[in-house]
Amino acid sequence: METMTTEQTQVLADKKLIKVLLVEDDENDSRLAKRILANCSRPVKFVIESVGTISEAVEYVGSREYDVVLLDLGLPDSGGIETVQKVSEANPHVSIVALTGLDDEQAGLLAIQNGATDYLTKSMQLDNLLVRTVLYALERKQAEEKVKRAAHEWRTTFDSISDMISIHDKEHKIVRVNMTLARFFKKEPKELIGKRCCELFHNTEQPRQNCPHSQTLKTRKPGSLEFYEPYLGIHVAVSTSPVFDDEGEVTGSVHLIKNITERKLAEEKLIKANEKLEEYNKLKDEFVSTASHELRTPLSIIMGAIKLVLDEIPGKIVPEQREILSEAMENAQRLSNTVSSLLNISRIESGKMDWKAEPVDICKLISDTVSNCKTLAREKDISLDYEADQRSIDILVDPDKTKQVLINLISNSLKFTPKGGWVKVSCTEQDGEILVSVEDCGVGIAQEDMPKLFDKFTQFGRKAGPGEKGTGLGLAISKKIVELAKGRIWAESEPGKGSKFTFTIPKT
Amino acid sequence: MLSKIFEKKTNTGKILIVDDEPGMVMVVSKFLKHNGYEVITAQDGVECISKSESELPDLILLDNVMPNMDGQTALVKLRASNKTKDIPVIMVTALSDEKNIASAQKGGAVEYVVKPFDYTVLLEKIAKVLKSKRNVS
Repeated sequence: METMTTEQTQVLADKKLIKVLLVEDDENDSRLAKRILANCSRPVKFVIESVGTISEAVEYVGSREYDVVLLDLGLPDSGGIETVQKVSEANPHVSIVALTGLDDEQAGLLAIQNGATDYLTKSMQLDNLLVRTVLYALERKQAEEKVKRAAHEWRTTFDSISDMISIHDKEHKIVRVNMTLARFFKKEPKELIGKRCCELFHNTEQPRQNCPHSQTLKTRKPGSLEFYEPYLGIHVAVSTSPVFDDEGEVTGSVHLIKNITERKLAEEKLIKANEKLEEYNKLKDEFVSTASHELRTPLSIIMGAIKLVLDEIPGKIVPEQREILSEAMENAQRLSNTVSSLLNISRIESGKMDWKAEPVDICKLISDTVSNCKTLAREKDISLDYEADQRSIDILVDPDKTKQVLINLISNSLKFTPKGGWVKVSCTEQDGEILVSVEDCGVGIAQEDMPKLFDKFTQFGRKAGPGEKGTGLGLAISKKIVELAKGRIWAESEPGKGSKFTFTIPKT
Repeated sequence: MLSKIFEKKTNTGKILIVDDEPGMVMVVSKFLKHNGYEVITAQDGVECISKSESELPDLILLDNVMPNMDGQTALVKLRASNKTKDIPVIMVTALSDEKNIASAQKGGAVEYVVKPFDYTVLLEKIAKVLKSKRNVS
């Protein structure tokens, strides 16, 4: 129940309004009290209601707002402490001034012990004394209420902090703990008061060497320590702050204890995971190295051996021998390309491939690459041409990787274009980008195959019999390279009509 | 006829092949000998150093992965010794990534080839290196 506060009443008028409930069965005494209060010279206005029995009093106090209850202890339906208790129960926040019989000091004191703020004997009820007592009792009660509220707020805050807090005196004995700490130890706070911190936390008689409480007591400064406490089985971060008395002497310290077990576990996990990752990376690099060497060395020897015979260095060969050995050479080359593709994709995915840009005339690079592919095109009776709308364009690119992409697209086109067909390579500049296209009149790509076109290990139109097979990595690698250069790559196609692959490289 | 004689003359040189693979050594030797070069061989980095110092070849074809001492280490030692520091080295490697190539070049290799290489290209590179060495001296 909110009573009108002093501040609120002051705002209303120059006269402070005080609501009083007068509980008095004697008519004369009641009239006297009312008159005294009405005629008081202080800047207050008493608004008085009066009742004659305790049951009425309890009813009124329970349902209406009063600042002060003037309570006669000798009522027809109640007497003494009981009277005070009943009113106090009905509203613990209202100020009670007990009115006792002639010179009954004892009753008055008893009343105060049981909830009354003050008392007046009937012989004391002279004008100014009554008024003064009432006002004083009101102030006292309000001050008490304020303190209670503040203490409650503090207590709530203290207990709601999710870290453990304990306050220790100079002998390391616990003076107070918060609920978090009490709950951790599964005890009531009062069970822990008086225990020494080394007892409770470490289960030892004496404090440890590095006890932060000891340090703070000595240095008069805050201290801190992180450690694993085997007795409690947790990792903690403890910080201590000194508590000073009025003379500036250290009387104890406040311990804030953070349970950092989870954090520590997570840290350890992360470190272990990182170590594992490093290990795996190393293993992968070793594997790639070994695979590189073990695959490429024999291939080198095979291709060298075949070439020696084909070049007729040990002696002349007949056409049938040439035919057979050429087949062997082609397949050795094919194996070599597969190995390169696999190693390439492995490197790209490890993030180990760099785009090393240098100033290059892109038109010349394209025309040279196209010329190098012309032999292959002629073998398949396909016309391969390069069209450019400019003679030369200078940009920064990684020449080897750009060539790789171009060769991949051209060889794909040659693969899927029938004899007598054509493949056209073009290059233009547009919106700050270089666009390079490879167009053919080949079999084209079905609409449903388009989304997976640049995925690893996907191939379309793989035919039986003669013709090149592949690893299905070419376009995946090309896409990764183009993305490395911060460009884009895409395909347009119509089944039966042909396909056009385009990639872009930003000019800057 | 005459051109053939001149061709042979400009192709002459002593080349040290360093490789632990006998197949590789055989094949490359045949190519080089057919093209008029004199060929000596070594099986690992240790033999490479000793043969380089005793025979003073005109060029070294150095493989990387070998027992006892690998190519990179041998290269460093070759460059460190006064006797051998001016012999041009072509590094032969199975790893085509930029990091390996860059470290080969930094180590002092004048050229590199990646296995499996085109033998014609190898011969061209050898001819180029020997020519520029001759021009310098």
